[in-house]
Amino acid sequence: MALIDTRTDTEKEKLLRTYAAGNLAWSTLRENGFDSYADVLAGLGRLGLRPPIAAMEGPNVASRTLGRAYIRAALRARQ
Amino acid sequence: MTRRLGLLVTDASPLITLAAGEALECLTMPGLPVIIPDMVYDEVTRDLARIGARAIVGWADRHLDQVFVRPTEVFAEFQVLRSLDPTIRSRGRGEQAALEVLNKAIAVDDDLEAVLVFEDADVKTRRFVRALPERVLTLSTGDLLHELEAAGRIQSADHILDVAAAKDRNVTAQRQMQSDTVDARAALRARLRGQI
Repeated sequence: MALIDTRTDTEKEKLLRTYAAGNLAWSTLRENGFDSYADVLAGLGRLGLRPPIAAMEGPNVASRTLGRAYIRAALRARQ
Repeated sequence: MTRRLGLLVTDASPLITLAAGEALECLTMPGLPVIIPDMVYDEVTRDLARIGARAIVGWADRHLDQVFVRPTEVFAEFQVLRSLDPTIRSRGRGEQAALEVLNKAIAVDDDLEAVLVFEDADVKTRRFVRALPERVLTLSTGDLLHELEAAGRIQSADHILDVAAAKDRNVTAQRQMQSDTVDARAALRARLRGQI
């Protein structure tokens, strides 16, 4: 059954601002009325914000550091 | 020899962001295979009128030897559910489909290397990544853009994200301009008819 989204524009704006600051996950936005990431991008654009780039912190830093090194090596191999 | 699965896209958001930022080529620049589970591909291309959808189809077509859409049971099940309830949402299924693709590949070769591509806010907070095999790494859209910027392959990660966020605003403005032009032409035709 489809849920009816009762959140106001102000509540959605607050969620988007928290997301842009890197303090809210996209999966959390999904649970709060944003069906598509295109809607998130459009909302950020209206507020003059950009999608967040995650700081190197949290439980996955080691894996991300290795992931970035993997990309570096792949780019070097193509030169 | 270790087999490379390549970049496995776990969610629609990296594709939509890069498409809206006119930077999908960033995903193919490292020269690695790009694997998109059918569930994720369906989510981003189901409605071709949505931001980035056509760009993603065009990009995948241009890189047939590098971009691969992989079938999953998760998507097959979702299609059945959608035929019963067209309002059903795909939330969370992209990631499940990506894990299905990964697990199938690991079942064939448990030594395989892969990089899971996540959306930035999710990669920072999700804990399940700890449970992944040692050779399965993670990367966010921002991580990829920063590496490309450092390698001089793109000018600015921030610029791409700014373009992505402004895309809808620009499309809306263009549609408004087209609509205004149509209205203005109709008004001009009416005035000319009145003068004849």
